[in-house]
Amino acid sequence: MSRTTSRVASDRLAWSHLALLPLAILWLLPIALLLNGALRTSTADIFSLSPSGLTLENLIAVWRETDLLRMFVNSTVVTIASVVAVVVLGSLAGFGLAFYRFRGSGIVLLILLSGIMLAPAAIIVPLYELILDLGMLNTYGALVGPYTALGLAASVLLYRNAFLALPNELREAASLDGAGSFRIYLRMYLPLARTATVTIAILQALASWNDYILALLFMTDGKHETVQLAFIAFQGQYFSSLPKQFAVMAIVMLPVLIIFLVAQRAFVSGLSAGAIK
Amino acid sequence: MTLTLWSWAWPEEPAAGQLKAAFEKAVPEVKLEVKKFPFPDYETALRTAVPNGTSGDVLHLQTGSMIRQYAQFLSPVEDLAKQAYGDDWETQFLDGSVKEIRDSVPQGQPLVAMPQQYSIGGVLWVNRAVLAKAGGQVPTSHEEFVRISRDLRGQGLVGATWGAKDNWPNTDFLVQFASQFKPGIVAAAEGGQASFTDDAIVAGLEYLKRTLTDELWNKAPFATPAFPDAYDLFFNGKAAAASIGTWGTASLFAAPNRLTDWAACLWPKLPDAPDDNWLGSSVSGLPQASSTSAVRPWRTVNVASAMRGDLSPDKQWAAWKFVEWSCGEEGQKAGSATYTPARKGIRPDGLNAEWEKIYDWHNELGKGAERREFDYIETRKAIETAIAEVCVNNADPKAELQRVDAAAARARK
Amino acid sequence: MTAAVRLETRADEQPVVDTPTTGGTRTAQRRRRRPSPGWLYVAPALAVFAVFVAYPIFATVRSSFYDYDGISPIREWVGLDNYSEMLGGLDPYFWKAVTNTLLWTVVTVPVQLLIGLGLAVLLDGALRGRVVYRTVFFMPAVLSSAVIAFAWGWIFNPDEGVATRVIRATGGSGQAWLADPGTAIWAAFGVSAWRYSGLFMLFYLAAIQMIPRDLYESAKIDGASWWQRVRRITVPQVRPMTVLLTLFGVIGAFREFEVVYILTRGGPAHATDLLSIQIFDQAFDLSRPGYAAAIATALLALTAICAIVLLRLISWANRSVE
Repeated sequence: MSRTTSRVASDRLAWSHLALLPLAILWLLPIALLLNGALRTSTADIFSLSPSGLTLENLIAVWRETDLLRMFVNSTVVTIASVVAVVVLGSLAGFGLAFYRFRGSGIVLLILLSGIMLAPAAIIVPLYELILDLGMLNTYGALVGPYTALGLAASVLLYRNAFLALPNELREAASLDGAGSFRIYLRMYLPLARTATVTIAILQALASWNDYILALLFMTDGKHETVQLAFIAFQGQYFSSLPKQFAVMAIVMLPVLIIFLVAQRAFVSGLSAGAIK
Repeated sequence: MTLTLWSWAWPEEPAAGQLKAAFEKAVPEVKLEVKKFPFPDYETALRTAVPNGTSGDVLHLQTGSMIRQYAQFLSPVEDLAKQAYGDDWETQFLDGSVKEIRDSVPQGQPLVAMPQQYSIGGVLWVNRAVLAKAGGQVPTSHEEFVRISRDLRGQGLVGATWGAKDNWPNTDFLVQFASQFKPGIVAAAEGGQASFTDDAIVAGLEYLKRTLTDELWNKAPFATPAFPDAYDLFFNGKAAAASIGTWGTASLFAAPNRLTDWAACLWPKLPDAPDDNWLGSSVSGLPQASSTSAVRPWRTVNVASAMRGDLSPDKQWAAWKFVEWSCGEEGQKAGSATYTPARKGIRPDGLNAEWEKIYDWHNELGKGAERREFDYIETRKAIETAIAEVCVNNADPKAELQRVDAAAARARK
Repeated sequence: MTAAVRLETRADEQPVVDTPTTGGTRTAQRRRRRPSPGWLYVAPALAVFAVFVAYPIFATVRSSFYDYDGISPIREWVGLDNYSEMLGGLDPYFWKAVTNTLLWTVVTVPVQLLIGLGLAVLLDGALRGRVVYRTVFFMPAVLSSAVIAFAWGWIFNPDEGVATRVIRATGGSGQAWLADPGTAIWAAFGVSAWRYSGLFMLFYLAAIQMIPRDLYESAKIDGASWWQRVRRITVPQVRPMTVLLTLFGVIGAFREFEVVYILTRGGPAHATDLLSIQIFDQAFDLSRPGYAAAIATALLALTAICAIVLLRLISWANRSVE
């Protein structure tokens, strides 16, 4: 790049900061607000900007007073299980649709597509009755099943597209070698669709970890609750402790935020790779 | 054996743990698991779980429509109560509280819940320290109330708090205000003996609207939930008054400077209401009667304890042990640190004379108080909608109340 | 181009293998008799989908023809009564919710597209700190509805909220956005823009990076300004992504539930009611799961119609780009 163009460019870049910086501050505000409130002990200081009086006291108290560890374990189990299920089932189906041309494959695709559009609120009542009839209430399956089913549509479509994008020669070569189709799927297609796997895993993990309403309805025995339900213990009917509510929200938010910041690159490239191929 | 309690009204930590420990000490065979919900989500959870037999073993319920809906799934408790507390058990609870539960189900059906917490509501709790910044006197008329609120607003404070987003305070107010024109009118309208378009209810709704236009309240009641926001404003010294059930006494009791800062009065007489000196002179230990013909409060067993009807015998035994303890002297005493007991004569330790009086009202004020809960959820929801339409969208009160009539008639069928 | 956009298979990308690849002669009859092994791969996913999504959808549509309270076992067949109540003006709030749901899509989708594309354009170059910006703008997308609604609740809080304090500090009297039926839904739109614009930005960034650089170089040589290059090259080149994101945005708008439910519960006075919220209210608050199912069916139908229209647009966009 020549000197002149870079100067022109940096002029424009300076203007960019003028637009981006205030927006970035606005974007950070709600998160900063939560963290700040979580580090205070008295309601009066919740919005205080003074650096004095910041303490971990409430975070520790909240951790001690509720079984947050168990909730984290529950959320982790449910999230991992549904990610694995969505990757396995989605890649198999995506492979089936990409590798074989068969009567009905178009309809299969269309049916799955309808799942992307579905508003979970629309099926919540029959879903509850179903979970109940299957004897799955207060089991991990009560969440893993619906989360997987709701995430499958996107997963199948992304895998199918990733597989279709692989060069034709590859499939033909593999077929001529006499490799069984399952071997082709496992040894060749799935590894080559790694970016799709990352994308799907991230989307599914976020959806599962962050769900509130299904967890509220399906996990009611005081043992299987997920972290999204943790704040309830501090929302008193009588006398709520505001700093503790902030603290519990911060504890729920922080792991996701930290994982995101640490694995930022994987998130960003994984998600954008899912859209572009 | 593990027993599960479902509640929206269980205290927070650390009081929650203490109460649980107290019970487990009294009945060592039973381990208590408490599942707590935010109130609006509690209704959702009950609806999905109770008919399917997947709810907790013991349920905290409100009287009125909530008990009515689920009564068919609950266990009768009358005989158990008799055995546990004796033949005169009903009189051991505050007057009318057992009757309120009986009235929640159609006549002839068994009693399915025990009174645990009892509240007089619509009492104005006052923070004297805040009130002092606006003259220090409790409001004795609507105009005085408006002035106090204006004074305080100028200082960045609030006259009274209202969490209208939660809806239940709204129906509470309407029941109270309408009763100033005709006592019992809302209950009569729900039962079909009167119309919701009765002048008294229209006038009550118009007055409720007027409190908004006269700015008695925090900035935007309809965007403010009662719990925690509205009451936090009050408990944290930002507001001079809050209309709250006496379930708040325990919170107040736990607040700093409680014995000096807190007082209570009744809502002053409405500008256009007829004289109605229902207080008379017979009642002892009243909150300050801000004016003669002060507004009637309401009363309710705001938490009743019920057991599922399909429990195995040993589970049922454990469930009853918990209900018996919770509504018995020991449990009520242990709980009185966080709520107002339904049992007569139970109060927390360390009260001064004024606070002793506060606990005395529960029985006395209840006699002139209005019914709070509704028989049918549809009627309640229709009223909530009418109030919001009138207060927020300036809808015509009479037209909105006509819709409530229709909804109430549908519900009765 | 954008792979996810290709929802319709075109001739050139048909799967190569249309039967088992064992070779040998195959007759049409044999093919018909033996199902394709493709089914074997599709079956597990279809089974899970059938149990947890398809069946509940079927059950929803079925209940919409019944009147029941969800508590007592009595169910009364009422035919189309629920629908005639819903559509026939007996329920004034149904149409309010339809309007709000459509307004939600019409407002939030363009706003998110615009902010997303704007950020992507600004962050595409060699800007110092672009990774930090990108991280900051994307961050809300990883947070849960419960956390988001809680945090924004304290920004909008009419008495104590941050927004209120800022306005008060600058001499204003404060605005109770969530209390005013005229503004409440706009406040919710704002939260939605905050939550999803970063995701849109990320997708746009990926699309921009796929644009051949020589297009820009030759435009520069022709003397096109930065703004002209954005308008004439970037915007048309990312059009397939715009269409894809529109589809995502519309679907997201129809699914919107938790944040609004926690933030306003549809209030004040139904001002922020969405169809998803009404389903909840009718099923759980008002004990009318049958009627709720009719609303749910309407929501499903509305989403399907919008998606079909959009899919048409997508294939049109694909055709005209290539």
